[in-house]
Amino acid sequence: MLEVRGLVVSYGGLRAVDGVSLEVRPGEIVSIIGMNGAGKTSILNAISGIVSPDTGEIRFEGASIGGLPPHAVVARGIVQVPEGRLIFGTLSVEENLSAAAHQHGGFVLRRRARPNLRGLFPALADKLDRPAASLSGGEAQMLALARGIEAEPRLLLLDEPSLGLSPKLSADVFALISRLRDQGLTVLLVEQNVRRTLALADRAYVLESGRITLQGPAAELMSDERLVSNYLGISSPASFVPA
Amino acid sequence: MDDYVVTVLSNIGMISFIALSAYLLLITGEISFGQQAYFGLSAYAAGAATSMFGLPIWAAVLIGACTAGLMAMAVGALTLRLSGLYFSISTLAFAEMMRLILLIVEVQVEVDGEMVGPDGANGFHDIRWMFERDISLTEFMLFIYGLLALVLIALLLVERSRLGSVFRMLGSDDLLTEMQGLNTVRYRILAAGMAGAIAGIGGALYAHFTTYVEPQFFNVMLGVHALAYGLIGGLGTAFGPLVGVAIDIGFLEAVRFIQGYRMIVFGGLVAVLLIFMPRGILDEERVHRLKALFSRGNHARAERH
Repeated sequence: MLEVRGLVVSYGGLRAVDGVSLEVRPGEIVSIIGMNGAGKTSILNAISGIVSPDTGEIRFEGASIGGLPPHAVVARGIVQVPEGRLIFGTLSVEENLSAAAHQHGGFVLRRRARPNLRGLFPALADKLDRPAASLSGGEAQMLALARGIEAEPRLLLLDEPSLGLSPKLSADVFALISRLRDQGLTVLLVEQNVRRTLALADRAYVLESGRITLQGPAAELMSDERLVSNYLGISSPASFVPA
Repeated sequence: MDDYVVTVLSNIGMISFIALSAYLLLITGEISFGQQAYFGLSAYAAGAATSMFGLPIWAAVLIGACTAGLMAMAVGALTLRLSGLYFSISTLAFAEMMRLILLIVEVQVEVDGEMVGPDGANGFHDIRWMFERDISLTEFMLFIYGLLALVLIALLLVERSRLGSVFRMLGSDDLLTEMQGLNTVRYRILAAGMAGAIAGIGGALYAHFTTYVEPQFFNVMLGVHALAYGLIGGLGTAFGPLVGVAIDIGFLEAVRFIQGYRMIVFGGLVAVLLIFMPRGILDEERVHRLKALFSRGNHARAERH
């Protein structure tokens, strides 16, 4: 479904992503795990067209999408939910949701949030006419996720969806991603919460300083000694700086 | 109503168009110092339509609005890729360029034995449509407010539509808007065109109300005021900029003891509001609360019946 070959992304001479190749197949949850600054977000941003790669090939459903502007990538069916609960604060919750669904609605009319969505996000269902700025951090993250799903993507890119959430909310987010897979959605997930991510994902890539150092089925990686010593042995570091 | 009151009310109406024009760009997050260019361009184009070519007033307003709108889209296509401050400076530069070009445009035709048309630095005289048809000031004022009501209704409908959300999304976060699959440059050019056309309607009316325009009328102070009206009145609803105009021209013009100090009071008001109400009196939050209040009132009434 998605193929990335030899991706290189650099910022002013500094290589953030250094020759990464990865693949996502339909119906999978594939995860990229790694420390802060390993280049995880840069990979997602290159796929969604926010940064243009130096070299490398990005193909989605057979067609090259490298170098397309972000809106054109969304039109192909790839939607990114960026890190940091980014929502439109001056808009209502409903407007946030319908804004994403624009490709499936008209130029003028607003589309109502799908009933399915109310089931997935009960916390948002009765706050549809509130300004998004009034939501709590957890609700804002749910709204960002809901907005991504409302766009009806074929591939959803999730950047640190559990970042900064309480353990309870964090568990909710992972449970939600699992439910979305059951509904047939394909997900590329970037996370720092390695234990939970590996428990959820089908396959995973471990990224270190812009290179993939380990890859394989998530269950196998979970018991890999190198991964255990590097990531699971130490308590996961708190991160505040967007990569 | 005496002529003075009619004139003040007409001015409020005509300036409201340029205030709405600047407001539309403000909600998309763009600060334009150049909306006076479209006001002025349309004043010339519409003035020419009636005085030089004998067209009816509605055609003149349409021609003025379209000319201004298309010019705004063309300028937008060139400048909207610039971000923030650079865009603002380019709008100012364009407006000044426009004003200087109008200073040297001399195109006159003979109508009924008299030469009519833009005459460079001497301005554009004899846009006499109102006199020729014996239209009273009051009648023209009603025409102004009729058009203003149409534009306002159109804007309120846009704000309730998805297009309105997109405009506010642009004002909130450009990249995040692009990530929703929206071609942000295209929407910004659309907003620029709509804003240009709205300013153009005001300009077309202005030319016919005063019968005489010159490039100096459309200097940067007009554009700065247009911005200030939205910032004072509020960016939460299209009524905001109208409140701003009413405060400046209505209140400050009408209260005699402020005369001579009007600009000082106005400037002070802008400064104080920007500190305490950075998005104006009718900002998004207050508008939302008013709406909630209003709909609760409706519910309560419905329950009583």
